[in-house]
Amino acid sequence: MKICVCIKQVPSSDKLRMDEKEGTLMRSERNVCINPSDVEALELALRIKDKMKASITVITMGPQSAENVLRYGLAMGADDAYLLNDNAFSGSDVLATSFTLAETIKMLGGFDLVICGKRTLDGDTGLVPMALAAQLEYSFYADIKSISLNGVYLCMVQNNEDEILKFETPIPSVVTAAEDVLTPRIASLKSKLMSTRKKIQYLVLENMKVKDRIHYGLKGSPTRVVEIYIPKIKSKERIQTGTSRELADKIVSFIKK
Amino acid sequence: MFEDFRIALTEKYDAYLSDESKKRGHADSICFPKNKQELIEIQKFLERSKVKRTIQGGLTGIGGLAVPDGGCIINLSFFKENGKMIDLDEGKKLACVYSGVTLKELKEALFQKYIKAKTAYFWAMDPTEETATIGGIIATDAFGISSLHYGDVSQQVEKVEIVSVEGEIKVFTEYRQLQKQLYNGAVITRAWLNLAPVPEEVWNISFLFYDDQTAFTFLDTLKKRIPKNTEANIVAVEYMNDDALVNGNSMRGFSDKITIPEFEESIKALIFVEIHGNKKGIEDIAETLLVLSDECNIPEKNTWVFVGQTEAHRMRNFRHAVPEAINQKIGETHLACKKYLHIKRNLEKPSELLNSLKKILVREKIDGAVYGNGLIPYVYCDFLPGNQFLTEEKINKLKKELL
Repeated sequence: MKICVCIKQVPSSDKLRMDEKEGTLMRSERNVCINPSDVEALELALRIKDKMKASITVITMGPQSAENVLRYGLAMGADDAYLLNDNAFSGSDVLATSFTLAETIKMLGGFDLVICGKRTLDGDTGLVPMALAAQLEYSFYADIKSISLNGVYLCMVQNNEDEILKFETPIPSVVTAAEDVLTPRIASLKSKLMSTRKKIQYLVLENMKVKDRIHYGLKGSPTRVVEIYIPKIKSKERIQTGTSRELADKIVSFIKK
Repeated sequence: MFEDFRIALTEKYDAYLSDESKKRGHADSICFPKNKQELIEIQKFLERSKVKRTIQGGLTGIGGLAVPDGGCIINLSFFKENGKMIDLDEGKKLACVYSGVTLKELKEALFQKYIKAKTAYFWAMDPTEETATIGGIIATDAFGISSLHYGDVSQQVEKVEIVSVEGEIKVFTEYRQLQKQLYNGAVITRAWLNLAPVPEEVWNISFLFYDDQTAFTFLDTLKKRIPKNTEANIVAVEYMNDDALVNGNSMRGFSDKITIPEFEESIKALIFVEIHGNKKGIEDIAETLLVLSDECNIPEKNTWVFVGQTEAHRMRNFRHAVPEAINQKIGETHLACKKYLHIKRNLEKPSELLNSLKKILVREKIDGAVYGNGLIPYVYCDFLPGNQFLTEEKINKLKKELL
């Protein structure tokens, strides 16, 4: 099975700081790591590879320092890594990101399965996987905790809030890995050292089939962040007491006001 | 006036009668000086009236030094000169810090300061407990995990300002002289800390062992052939025995900081090696460690690599959970205090001490979590609840056997 895992470099969770003047996230190349949900996506891919013949390709979009997250993937057991590194890709929103990833996946000949993390620590829209599936015209499934192959069908186990769903779907497909159920493995010393010697392939706009800059980066992003601020809490909390019935009535009358 | 700061020790202040040693003391009053002037008043009064004093920081010590034995407690958790916590001397790479500042606050301040700088600096002393105050770390001569490379407190502190028992402000650069003053009841007010450049890369390589003997052989070989180069350094080598691992594991579910995968039940010891430096230098050291691990027949799956500060902290957090778990258990069982051994011996073969300690535990039928620097070695042996039959006299006897 040909698997692609999309990963991202994000600021470390304990190092997330906002620039209150600028209203933007303060980014520093020293305090970055792989997006935690993407590690779960990698683990899902590796569990497939543990059971059957499969190749795993990791791709990311970002500066040269994003090589580190690709090496993280290689050390965990991925086979190839691609870094989408071009100024033309900078400032991408959900639409431009998913377009760039989709173009890359098409350029690489397509995959049977594309796995993404459920959300990113910095943007946290959680929309790129769905947008990517739409761009690729692949089916999309969220919160998948295990996948096997039955002929041309992917047998998936989906982690819903209260139930586990098992179903089959034809390849190809984009999925997001279920959160907090796939404990990611830790790279061994040998595989980590081997990953440092593996070549990371750089891709730029020129490598894409669609070369018009209007689809990429800031130009291809209709979303504009005008201002980011911490909402000011104007109302004061009020503590109400009474029976559950009385409290329910109070809430209803408060909402009606 | 001293009376303005003095608070009678009511039930509300019960938490200040104990620290992480779980020993429990008693006191008549407590005060929380916020600045030097208040502290001078307090020191002068206590000296004049011959009142016993106990100085407290973050109450994170396990030696019981912050547990009062009557008199007045001087708690420094608010000693931050009204929020003005840290001054940086950029030229000399020194951070001047008030003694009530916690390690966490210092880390955050330095992080904010250098977030956009090309080179960032940090204070390398890390006794793993982030709520420890700088004053407490210095006063107790704490030994940080990475002291192996960055040095102990005396090497990481340029000078220290104190308020003596007579209420005089003095500055010390010699650690021994400072210790004498502290022993007499002086209080640290400020410290000038030597900062080190944040390493380009950090790797934590952990080795999991099915038996202690292989772990000891690994440590002996590592000490004999410690890989060195100019671009990277091994800054920490921490050992944990099976009881330490069991206790660290027991914190899963209580602490969201325990994020390392669970071990196989048959894992009996763990050693982690932390390396700071540039990529090339770290990789060279890691190659040597791989050779060592092959020589000791450590299966590939039992070697874990964590890359980056955040990742490396996953293993440091687990190491920190070991004493935390034991302290929690001691607290739950309402035992008199934690009983432990703290032994340092600079040996060519660390196994000499670790093996002797293991033999004693077996001979005496004692359960003990052994953890700490495995290379010097400089380790703790925390006796688990259920071994309360151990008297101080017996513990001292065991210690003598090991020295």
